[in-house]
Amino acid sequence: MTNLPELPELSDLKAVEKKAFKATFEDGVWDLYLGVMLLPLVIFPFVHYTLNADLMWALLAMMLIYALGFAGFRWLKKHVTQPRLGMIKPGPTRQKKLHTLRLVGVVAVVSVIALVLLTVFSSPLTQITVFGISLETAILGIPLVFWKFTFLAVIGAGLAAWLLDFPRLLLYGILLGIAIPVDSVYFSETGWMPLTSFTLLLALAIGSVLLARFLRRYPLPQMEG
Amino acid sequence: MSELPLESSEPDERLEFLPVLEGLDRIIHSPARLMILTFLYVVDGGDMVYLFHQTGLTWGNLSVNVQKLEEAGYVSVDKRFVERRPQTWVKLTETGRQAFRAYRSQLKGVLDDLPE
Repeated sequence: MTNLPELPELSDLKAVEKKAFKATFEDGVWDLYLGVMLLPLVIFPFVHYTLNADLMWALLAMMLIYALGFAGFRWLKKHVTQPRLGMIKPGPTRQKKLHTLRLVGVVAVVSVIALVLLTVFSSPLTQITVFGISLETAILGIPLVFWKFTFLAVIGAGLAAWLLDFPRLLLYGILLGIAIPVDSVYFSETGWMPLTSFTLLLALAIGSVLLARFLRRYPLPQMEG
Repeated sequence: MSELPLESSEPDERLEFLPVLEGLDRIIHSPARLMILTFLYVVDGGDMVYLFHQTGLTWGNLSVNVQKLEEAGYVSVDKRFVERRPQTWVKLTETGRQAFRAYRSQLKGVLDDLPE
């Protein structure tokens, strides 16, 4: 009797494709990257407002973290994930999804920038109304404008999670969506951002556990074809 | 345990699907090659490491079966270097894609016609 692994389900090729693509997120590198990307959000206000560091230095530190985070992400994907998991060129359906994701990303970034500019350069906030509601209107003691970030984070992460078959992204989106408005108020009172810090630590912890499991599960292949 | 006698039915009726089974593509009709083709069908190409992990086959078994598929014209194999590392890129050819589709519908038809 041959000792062959289980045959993939022929009638459900979508599931086969999903399985192949989802393996990309088993390495935890995206989680680690997300954690590192959140780091400046916590460090910058603390360094600039609490420690009264110069704005330029705080911004430089923020950029440095982003650059190092991106470099680390690329390095891990190239030298850790790819040699273990291999490479694929996605099929047409997946490529369409990825293209849509890029569009969603651009729309999300433009929306966030617009919202930030609107918030920073509109003083007082009461002058601006959206659908007849003033941006200063508070829900649960938090100005409406901050809840708009929540909306964007959850919708953006939800769409990305669906397009990428990466459900954890929705969890991070929800956590971050709650963290932004709550921490914006909490920070002005206490000088730190507990929910963003929690999301950051959670992403780093999940990423580290997944990466350790990935390295155990996928040792470097001894030979290549 | 008592054995039940086989229900007598018209021989032609029972063996109706046999010609269809005989007509199944023998190249694809092997668990290893079927797996390789399935995982290649859902992407636009992949390297041997991808196939190695997804199929769970040994390197030797994988290489032999990929070679058989290449000889049949079902896959194209491109050995190349990517940043000084060897990479064997495997891609389903149009012939392979059509053969896989035909095999799939043929097998599905046979299995669907089997009594419960």
